[in-house]
Amino acid sequence: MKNLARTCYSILVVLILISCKKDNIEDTDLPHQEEDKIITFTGSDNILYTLSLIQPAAPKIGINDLEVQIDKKGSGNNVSPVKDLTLAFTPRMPHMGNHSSPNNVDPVHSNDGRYKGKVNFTMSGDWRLHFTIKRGDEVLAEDVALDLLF
Amino acid sequence: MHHHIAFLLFVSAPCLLTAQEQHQHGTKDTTIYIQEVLVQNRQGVSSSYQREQRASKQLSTDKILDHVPEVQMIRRGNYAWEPTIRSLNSGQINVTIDGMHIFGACTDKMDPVSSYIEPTNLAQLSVNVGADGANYGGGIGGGIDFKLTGATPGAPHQLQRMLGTGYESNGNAVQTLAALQYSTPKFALQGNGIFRKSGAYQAANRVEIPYSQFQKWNAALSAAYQISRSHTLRADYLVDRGRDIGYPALTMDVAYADADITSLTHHYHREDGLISHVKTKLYYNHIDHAMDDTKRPAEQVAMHMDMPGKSWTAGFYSELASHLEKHRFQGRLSGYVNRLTADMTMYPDGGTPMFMYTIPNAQRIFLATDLSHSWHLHPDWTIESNTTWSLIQSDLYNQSGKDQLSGIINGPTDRSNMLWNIRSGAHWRPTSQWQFKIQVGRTSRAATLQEYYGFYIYDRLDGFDYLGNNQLHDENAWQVDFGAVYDDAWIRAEANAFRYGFSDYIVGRMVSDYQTMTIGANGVKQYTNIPSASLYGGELSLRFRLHKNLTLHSANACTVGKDDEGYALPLIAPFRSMNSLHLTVAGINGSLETEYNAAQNRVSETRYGETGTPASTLFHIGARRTFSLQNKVFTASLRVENLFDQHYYRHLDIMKVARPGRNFITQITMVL
Repeated sequence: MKNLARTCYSILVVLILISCKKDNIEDTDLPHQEEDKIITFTGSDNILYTLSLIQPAAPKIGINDLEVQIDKKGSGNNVSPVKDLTLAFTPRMPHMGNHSSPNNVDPVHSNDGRYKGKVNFTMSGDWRLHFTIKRGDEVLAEDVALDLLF
Repeated sequence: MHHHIAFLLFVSAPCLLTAQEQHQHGTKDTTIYIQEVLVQNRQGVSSSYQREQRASKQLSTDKILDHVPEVQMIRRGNYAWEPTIRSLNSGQINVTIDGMHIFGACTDKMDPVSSYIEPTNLAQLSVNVGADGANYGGGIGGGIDFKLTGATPGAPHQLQRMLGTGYESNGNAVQTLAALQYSTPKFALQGNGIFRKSGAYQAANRVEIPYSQFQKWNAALSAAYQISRSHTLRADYLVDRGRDIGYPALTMDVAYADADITSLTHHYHREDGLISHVKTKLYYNHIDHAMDDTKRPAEQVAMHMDMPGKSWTAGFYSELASHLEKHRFQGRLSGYVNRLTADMTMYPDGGTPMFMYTIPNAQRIFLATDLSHSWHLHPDWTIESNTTWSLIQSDLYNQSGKDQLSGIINGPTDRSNMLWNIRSGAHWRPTSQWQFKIQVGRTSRAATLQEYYGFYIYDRLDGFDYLGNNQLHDENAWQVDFGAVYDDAWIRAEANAFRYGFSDYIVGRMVSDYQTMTIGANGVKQYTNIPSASLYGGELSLRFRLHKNLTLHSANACTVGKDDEGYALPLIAPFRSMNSLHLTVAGINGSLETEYNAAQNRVSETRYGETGTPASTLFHIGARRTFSLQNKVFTASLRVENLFDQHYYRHLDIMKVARPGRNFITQITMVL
């Protein structure tokens, strides 16, 4: 009896875990696993958002693919991707008089809160990516800064 | 002996009218090649005259070049001036060593090729203006070839030695040099070496110019084997090491500048027969250069940085000279591979070091063929022409180089160019005193690797960061040269006038969507082609034999350069007049010299960041005596430069750093 209960319980846990696949879920209580840099900010709508750096995972000099994930925190521990934002960013080097680089491409929404663009690192060192996030014409957050060094 | 004649004849092969003159020089004693450098500036292939000067092996390469009227030197410090011909700069002229291509590794042009060569290495210095068969590798403005002295089998003296030392009061500069040649009919060995050291120099009124010191040593070894009567094989190695070299015009100095130059040469020579001369050379050179800001005060250095650079070139050429009755031919096949890289690592306080390439691993492959023909169709007339065809392929040779430029170059980074030069001229000698010449040519050049691939290279002249542009068109020019010579018993006058009309001239232009990299820079420029530019001017040289022992020389040059909108091009030297009186009395050669540089106000500050320069007049005085003592020949000289301690700087002195004030120079050389 105890064995059967244990087995059913295990199967149930496995089923729940299987169903918690990142790609297909609207609501999940598991955080995204690839991100290693996460910034939390409060938008002008008083909702808590997270901006996570997905790429470049191994930054190099020159043009890199830039991918960020934007999610919002709902009630409880719910985190859902945000798909309707417009991003603009400027990469700057805080130790070089905050100078920027040319030919960056602002990330554009691709799927499920993933925004894809390009960042040009003219040299290695400390970089800070300054994001301005808008929803339509409304500015949601200004100067959300993500630090990166390589 | 034969090799000297052949060598000189080859160099002057198209210049039939002076073949006689050359032959006489060739028979002179080889001590000339140990003691002195022959300075030759040829006004084009059809030139029937060559003005030769002799320079002491104690006179620095920079100063030798400075006295050639067609050459203007850009100065960034007390060391390593960059030569230009008629104000045409490094990308537009070829500076070669014995025909070998060599490229400096410093992005700030602190190491022009001439900085690795000392007069002890030189037999001859040739300046060729415009498209000239003697110029190695085409080019627009011409070229300077440093012909190295080398081991010569069968020299008249079996053992020749030279020792010398010199001292300059300004900067407490010392130099010590030595040369040795051992020669038998079958085998010869030659070595030379020099050590030079100078402290910071003083401008007028004993004002010290900080960070103008330098120190270097240079040595060359040459071995030659006479395989048979017509064949010689020679191996050469030249090493140059510069240390702790200050650059007052820049914000950094040089930690080290090292060059290693090696070659293997085969010589074939016959006096009779269709082909008089074949020379084949294989070569390799390597330059290692690093800048250093640690000697500068902290307030001048915004951020400490390391800036190393490396350049290596491997190449070959094979040339032949041939004559048939009234025709002389010269042909050459040459090629090289050059790899150039320079980078910068910046160390911010409390931050991660920042690394970037300033020349991201660039490479050039070059192949060219030069042909020239001279036809002495009539005692009074010579027609000559020469042409060069070249193939050039440029690219970044590895992925990290391509990554660096991925932000500004979309797509493939490589460039392939096919270029051609052609020049033709006529030479007329109506009387024994008068000669006239006209030359018309069309030349082109590909952009340099810096101009294609440079990445934020700071130019001190206009305070801008420069970006390369791998889409640059080749620069082209039409050239016209007129010359006249009058020569009689007491006066010789040579006049030249020229005009170059450029299309697709390469300059830097501001690009507004880029931010500066260098802290404090005025902005960013990128190399681009402008539709046209023009350069015109002339040289006038005079020699008056006032008396058997009294000669007056005068060398004058003037150039004007304008871009497509009439703005004055940068770094164009103003009118310059060098006049000297030479007197020989009681075995002493005395000279009194004066140098006049006109003011240069033909500048464009808004467009090129250049400001004007006032005029200056200088006086120099010197005496030299050669005497024998116990079988040794001594040459002692005493010279005072800038006799009246004039404060001055010349237009091509970057940042207008003042030039040295009064300087007492003593030198003594011993030949045995």
